Amino acid sequence: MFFTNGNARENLFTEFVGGAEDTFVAPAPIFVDETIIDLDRAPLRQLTTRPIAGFGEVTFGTSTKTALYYVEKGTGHVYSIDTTTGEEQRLSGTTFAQTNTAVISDDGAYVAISINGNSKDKRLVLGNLDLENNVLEEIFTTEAYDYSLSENNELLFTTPESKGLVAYSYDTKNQTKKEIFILPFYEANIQWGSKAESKHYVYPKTSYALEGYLYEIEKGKLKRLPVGGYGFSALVGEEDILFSVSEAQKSNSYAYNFSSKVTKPISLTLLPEKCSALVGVSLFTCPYDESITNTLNLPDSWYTGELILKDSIWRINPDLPPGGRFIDPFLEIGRELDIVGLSESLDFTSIYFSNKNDNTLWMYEF
Amino acid sequence: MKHFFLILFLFLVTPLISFGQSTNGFLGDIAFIDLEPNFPQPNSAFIAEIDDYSITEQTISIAWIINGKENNAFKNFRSIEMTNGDIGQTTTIEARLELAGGRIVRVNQELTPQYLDIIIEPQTRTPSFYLGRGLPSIGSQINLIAVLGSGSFKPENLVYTWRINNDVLDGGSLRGKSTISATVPSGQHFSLYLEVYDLQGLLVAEKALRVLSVSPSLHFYERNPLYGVSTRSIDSLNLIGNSTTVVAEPFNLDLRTYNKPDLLEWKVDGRETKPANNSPYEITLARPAGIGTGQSKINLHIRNTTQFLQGALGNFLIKF
Repeated sequence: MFFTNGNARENLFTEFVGGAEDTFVAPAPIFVDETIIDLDRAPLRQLTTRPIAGFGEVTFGTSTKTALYYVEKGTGHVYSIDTTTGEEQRLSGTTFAQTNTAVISDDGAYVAISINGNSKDKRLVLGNLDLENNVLEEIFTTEAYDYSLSENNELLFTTPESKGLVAYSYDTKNQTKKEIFILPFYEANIQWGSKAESKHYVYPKTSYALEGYLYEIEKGKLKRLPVGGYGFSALVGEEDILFSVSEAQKSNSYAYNFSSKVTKPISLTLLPEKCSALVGVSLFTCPYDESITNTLNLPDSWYTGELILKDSIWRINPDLPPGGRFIDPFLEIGRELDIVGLSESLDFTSIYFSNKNDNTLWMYEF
Repeated sequence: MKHFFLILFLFLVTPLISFGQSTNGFLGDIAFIDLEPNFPQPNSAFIAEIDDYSITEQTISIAWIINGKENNAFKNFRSIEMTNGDIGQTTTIEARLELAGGRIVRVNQELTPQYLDIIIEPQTRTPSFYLGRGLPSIGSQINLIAVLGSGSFKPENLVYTWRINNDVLDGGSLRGKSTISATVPSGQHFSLYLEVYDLQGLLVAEKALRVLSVSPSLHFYERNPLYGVSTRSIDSLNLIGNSTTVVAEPFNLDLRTYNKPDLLEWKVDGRETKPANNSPYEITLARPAGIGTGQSKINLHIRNTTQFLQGALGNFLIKF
């Protein structure tokens, strides 16, 4: 027989409560973390043992030198990691309790952190990374459903209002907020463009039992794209839209080409939200679980965490049959990884991703 | 004006008799081009079929003129399959029927395809980490949002008639009502219909959907005091350390019931227990002192006692 906690919870755990007043600036000496791993540079290697909220490769000015930053889940601490040696450096010790997701600007100057509550409204904090003092200085906070940082350091975010789900950009230089677009619905999955004025893509959040449709948003106007269906999820690339829909009690994937207006089937059942679109080419990089047979409730069963995927990584060229996996974590290191947040390095020499099972950060070096 | 002169020309100068779609014929005849579906979506396939059954003479030849150009591949077919144009791009279809005796009947149809999307937003529980949309469950509230033609039509200039099964929502057609709330009826599925009219009463677009209604289901997740709720659903759990906190998530439970359940009952090995966690959906379990290894079954029952189908039962096993 187990004992429930009674009133002992306070004694068991530290109570973290979100809110600006709870954020403290910790003295943050730069240190080398004790968890250095995989020094022998295997192509596929785990970069962190800490769970991460987000990561990003950053460039400094006109330099071609890049660094990999990540934000620790739960604390919001920001680290830089040397992908060769595994050496870590803490860049910010400012704690944002209950940090759930994070985005780092391309130049590493700003970090946006989403703090999880129990509802869909999440507190979003935008901070300026002060490397001298090892703090993340909070410059803007709001309630947000979805967010991103643009290439010119604008915070793009959506917030629910009575007129709909409103997308804003927050200019970090002028500290001004501007409306970008309004959606008539709230449950939206947004693929943000690189700038506030770029094209953005949006579809209602996915369920296998509900219809979804893809919209392109430019200059505040909604344009319906010719793809949709039950269980609809999508990733828009430069030339193609990779999408999946539920049909005849299974999930099927397709690619729609913008120029030819032709939709081609893809023989794998993909989750486009796991994929990454390569820049400048008609190519997607996708995690795919070859062992999955029952796709009736996809992607809902994966979203709930009932279904754990054992992914390998594939290149998908919509014009060609799938060429086969090119990274198989199980074959390489005997680990089963449920891959999310996949992105190519800026010099195209490696791929970064995290493992949904434990939120650790990984890389594969070509 | 161009059309006026064309019609005048056809009636006065030529011996041909021209009929527009849904127009009574010169001799009392009526001919139509029927479309299947009635409002084909942009870039989608549809069938155009001649309905000339009220014309008494035999039709001896049929010519199809698409966007002003005769299509010989369709010659003498009573129905043709075509692909609709892009959104907002008008396609004109004309069928020229030659009847026995030489009389010519023209029927035409004009299509300007628009998307009519219905976005269903169930007001049911999903946790904040959940990337998808909740589903409707019987008795739960759903919000319905219509988006016509990429939102280029102003809803205030349109009249909406929403139906669930055979019931018209809000008592009838409503001007500008592009969003509406409804309660999910009984049954595993329900039918949702929407008709959109312009202010002249012409049907602009329509859509029908068959929507699945699910039973709420319970999932359990471990909460780490530092890192938050794990996204991995658990059926059984190995206790590492002296205690753990588990969060129950009743997926697809109506939010009104979630926020104020009539019944919320935790049981540990069949015995009711009242966790003292801040949230009634959380339970913290501590390793019992003086007992070696073992396991316990933890049950949770949530229910709205007036809307009995709004509820869920679930359990997980903890091994210590």
